[in-house]
Amino acid sequence: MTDQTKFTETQEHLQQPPVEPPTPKELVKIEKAKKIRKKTFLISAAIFTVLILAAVAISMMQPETQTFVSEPSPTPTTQQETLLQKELNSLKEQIDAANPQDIEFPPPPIDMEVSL
Amino acid sequence: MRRKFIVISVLLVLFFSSTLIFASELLDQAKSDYFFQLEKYREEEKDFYLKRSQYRNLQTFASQEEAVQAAKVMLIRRAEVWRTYFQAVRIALLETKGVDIIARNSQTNKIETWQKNMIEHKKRLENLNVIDAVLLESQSLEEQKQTIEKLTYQSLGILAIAKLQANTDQLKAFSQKIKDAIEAQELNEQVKQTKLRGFIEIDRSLSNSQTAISQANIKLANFEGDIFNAKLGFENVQEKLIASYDQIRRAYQLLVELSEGVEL
Repeated sequence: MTDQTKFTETQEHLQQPPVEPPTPKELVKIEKAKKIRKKTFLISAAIFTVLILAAVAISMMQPETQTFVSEPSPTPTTQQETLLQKELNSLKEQIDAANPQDIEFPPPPIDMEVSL
Repeated sequence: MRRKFIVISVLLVLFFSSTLIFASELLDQAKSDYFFQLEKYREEEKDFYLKRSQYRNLQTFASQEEAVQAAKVMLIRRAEVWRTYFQAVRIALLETKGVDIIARNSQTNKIETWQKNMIEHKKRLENLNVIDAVLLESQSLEEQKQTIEKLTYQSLGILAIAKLQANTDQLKAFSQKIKDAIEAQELNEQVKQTKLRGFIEIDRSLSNSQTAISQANIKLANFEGDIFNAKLGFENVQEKLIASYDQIRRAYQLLVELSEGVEL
């Protein structure tokens, strides 16, 4: 009877091929690949951050749109009324802001004739 | 290739996001700078009046020196108040819808010149210490008072006209939109005709508004003539604009009434 365990261990064709250490060229390639992966990750992170910042800035500049979106599922009729009302309200705001009696930048109230 | 695409995308996103933030904050920042300078001017003005009063009572060399220094500080601040005020007006001219492009370019160029003048005036004041020289430099700006006022009120007139012109145009477009919606609606013919007659009134109001704006533009053009009381000139423009504003408000009220039950 032969020892089968010993047989498998000693058989050449079943043995793992010896692991050869990477050549300097391969090492350089691996390093390059690592660097590219790192760069891609950093660029993706930057794009993601910028997109989030832009989204926040846009949402801050359009508070009305945000309110409209967050409304709980309005019926089609309500939505139409809101749209019309919204346009009328927007017009009203612009008309109020254009009152010629309200001067946005009155000249500086400062003394232009100084004497000692 | 892929890397180039990523880099270009990043740059584009950065550019557009920064432009959006920049445009919205520019005017607020300019206003904030102006009000800060004005507040500082108020404090320094009080100090100057106090020191001047002491000098007038005491008539000593020391009190005179203190009064001159206080005047110098106040005058430097006065230049800063004007510079920041002009900056806010310049940005408003650039950002306000409806400003005539020729008027905008001409006015912003004049404003930029005066901003530079204020910087130069401030620099000259900073290097002066003798009472006569400080007062002479102050006087050089005071002599330009009418020109500065003219520039200021002219800019205010352009801004006020632009806002009302934009309102008139928007109301015209919106009124047409509502009118089209009513015409397309299945309504009782009599009700429909009554509503459509309302639009004749809106058109009349908007036409009156446009006439008043044209008259205001003529009044504003008078600013280019001989220097006169700029405030009075602005009040003439304002008078026409108030008439336009009343017509705009009337048109809006009619439009609100006619919009009832309309589906866009």
